[in-house]
Amino acid sequence: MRDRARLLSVTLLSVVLLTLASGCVKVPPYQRGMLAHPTMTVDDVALGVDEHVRAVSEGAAGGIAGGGGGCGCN
Amino acid sequence: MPACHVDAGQPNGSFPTARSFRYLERVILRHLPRASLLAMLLCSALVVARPAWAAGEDASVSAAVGQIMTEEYPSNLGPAKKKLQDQLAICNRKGCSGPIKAQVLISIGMVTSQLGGADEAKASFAGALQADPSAKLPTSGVTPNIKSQWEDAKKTAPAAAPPPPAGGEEPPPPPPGGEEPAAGRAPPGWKSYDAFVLAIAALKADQEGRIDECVEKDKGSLKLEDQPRTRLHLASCEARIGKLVDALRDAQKALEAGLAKQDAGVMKVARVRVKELLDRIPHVTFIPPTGVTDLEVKFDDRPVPIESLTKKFSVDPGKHVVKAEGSVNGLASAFEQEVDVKERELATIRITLKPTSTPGGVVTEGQIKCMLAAKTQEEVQKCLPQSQKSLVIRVATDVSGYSDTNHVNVFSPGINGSLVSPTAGWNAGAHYILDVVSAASPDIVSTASPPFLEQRHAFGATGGYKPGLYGGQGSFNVSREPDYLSVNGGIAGTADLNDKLVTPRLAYSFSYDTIGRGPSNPLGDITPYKGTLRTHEFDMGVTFVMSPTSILLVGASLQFERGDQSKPYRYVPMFDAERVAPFVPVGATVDLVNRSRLPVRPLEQLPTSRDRYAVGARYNIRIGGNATLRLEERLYYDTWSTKATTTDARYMVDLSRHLRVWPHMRLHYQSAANFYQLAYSAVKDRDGTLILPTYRTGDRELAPLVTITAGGGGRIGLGAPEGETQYGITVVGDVMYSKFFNSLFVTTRTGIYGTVAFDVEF
Repeated sequence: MRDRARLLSVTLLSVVLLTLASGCVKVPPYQRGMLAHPTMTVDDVALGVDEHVRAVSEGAAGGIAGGGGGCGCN
Repeated sequence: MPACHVDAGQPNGSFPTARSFRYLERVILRHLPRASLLAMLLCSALVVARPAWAAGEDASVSAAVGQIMTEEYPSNLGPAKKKLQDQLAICNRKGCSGPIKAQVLISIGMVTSQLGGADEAKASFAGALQADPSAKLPTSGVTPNIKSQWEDAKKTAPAAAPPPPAGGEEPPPPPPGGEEPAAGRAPPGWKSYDAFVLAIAALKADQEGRIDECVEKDKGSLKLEDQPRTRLHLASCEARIGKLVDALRDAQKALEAGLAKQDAGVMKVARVRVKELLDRIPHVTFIPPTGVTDLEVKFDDRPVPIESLTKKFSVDPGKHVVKAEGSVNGLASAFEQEVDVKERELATIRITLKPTSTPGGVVTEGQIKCMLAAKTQEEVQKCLPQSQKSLVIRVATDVSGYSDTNHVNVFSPGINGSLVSPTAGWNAGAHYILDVVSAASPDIVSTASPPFLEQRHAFGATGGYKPGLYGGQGSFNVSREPDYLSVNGGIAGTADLNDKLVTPRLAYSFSYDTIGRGPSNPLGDITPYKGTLRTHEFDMGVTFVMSPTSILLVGASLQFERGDQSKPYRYVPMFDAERVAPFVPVGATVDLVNRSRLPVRPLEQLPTSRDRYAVGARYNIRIGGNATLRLEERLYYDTWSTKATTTDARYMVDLSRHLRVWPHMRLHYQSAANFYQLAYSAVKDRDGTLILPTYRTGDRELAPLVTITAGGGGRIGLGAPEGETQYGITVVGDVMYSKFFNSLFVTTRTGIYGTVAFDVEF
């Protein structure tokens, strides 16, 4: 229970801090070209059975389900 | 009376008498030799000192003459003559020794001879011989004319005309060429009279400060006769009007001519001139824009070869104009910039094309502002509408394989496709996977079950719509095995905040699993279904644009599982609590377990609820413009007390426009579930009935373990990356090594798996 609360607190704190920090860095649209590169996607780039092997062989799950934007694309 | 007191002879110092005068005379006469000697010494000192002063002047004049003859002869004859005459004036004014004066006059004679003044040169030589009869011509810089004039001067030296007047004291000497040869006849050393006249005119213009005319006359002379001294003089004039590139070229040509004719004087001066100009000449280089295939660049209206843009060009100091044209995203674009280049400077000009027109002739205010603020070509391109298709179709197929030391082998072909409309904002996709699994793991063998072979079919579909800043996505998945059916559905929402620098995402999914036994049940005990497992999952994530080259995704997930997820085919060995269980070793073999176990064979039984929590982050950074580093970290905890940390890294490098490769590493560590045991024990109650542990499992994935995965992959793009249809072949492979710290049968497992995929996008 204590560990769960600690995990949640760390997550929320991280999100808040990073949100604040993100506001300090303004990246104009014309500087976001590199973010649109295929290798910069926030989604998992694993292919084939990779994800399935991990799900079966590791006792852990979840965490990073995939973001959404990330490239700041228009 | 004082012995050293020399007075009139009076012992007591009174007014001198005649007697005292006679005494005085005797004293003077006695001391006269000494006084005379002293006077002579003083005079000698003056005499000696004067030469000392003169020697100092000699050294100064000699050094000055030497420098003039080194630096100005034979290229700058006019200024050289004036400077030499100034030195002669110093000699005449302050006094020089004969040899030094002769040196000055010889130098004047040599310069005057080169200027065409034969008689004047002879007069100078005669003056030199008069100042120092042993004077000789120097060993270098002597032309046949000079030698001839010197010989003439030697013959007529006594009656030689007085040296020419020194500059500054007398009216300036007559202009060079005053003693011109006979009209139409080229002087000795020349073939063309007209060339000679033009060269003299250039010298005159030089002396009078009309440097442009100097250049013009010298060039005219060179057209008629290529004299290295004329070319050196031309280089001198060109350098003084800022035409350093032309001056260098002419100085280099003069050096080549001097080398060819073995003219030491020309070679010496030309080398100095070339070195000086090389140091002074500025350079220009360009940084061309990327992605512009029809680029044309002009420097001062002269075309610059595109393949040479990044090289260094020698230019004259001063202002220049750079113009460039090309197409950016299909729009005609141009660049113009004036640069002021200083001597010795390397100017780097970054060409940034900006559109001169747009389709329909309209550029939005935002685009204008964006382009004005753009500093590089890439930034300008991003300001303009990107050439987008209305529909993008992607189809991919892959074949995967897995094999490990537990004799589990999987063959898995799959296919997936997607439709995306970037302009309308919707997307749809589907996938199908077939897993063919054969297993003869120790878990199965230990229960005397035969190895099994089964297939799993998995199908999924997804669709979403994001017209603006907010969007939604839905998904549906089905997985079917003979004894397991899983149905999953989910929805997700995203938002673009803070000018798309922050993108949060919330998702929910629900899974309903039916666990049963099918025809491949090794026990042959068909049960319609063992139970169900319901899973509610909440995912949240936020993506941050950290910099122009990096993004960060921070996420968390909550999973709530309710239902019996025990494996229907997994039997857990039981051991005597006191005499066997404590002594069962880690990695005990199948035989040992079978010999040591109790006769009972209970099935695995897991808790029927499990809450799983995980937080993670993924950081992507573009490095050097051609590589991406992807780092991931996940922390996990669940209500079965399993804790885990997982770290993953990929370094994806674009070796070319078509080839990308990456190494991959992953490290996973987890602790055991709180009910997990190496050797479960059963005890008998008073009735003799065995009491089994409530929760028991043989699943090594609930045991403490560490897994290290290493591998890599590569993708080859076929065809032009900017083409309408793009093809790609991807190959990935990994080796996975797991260490089980507290498990039966196996303590390690090594697995290898890989995928070959082919994709096409059009």
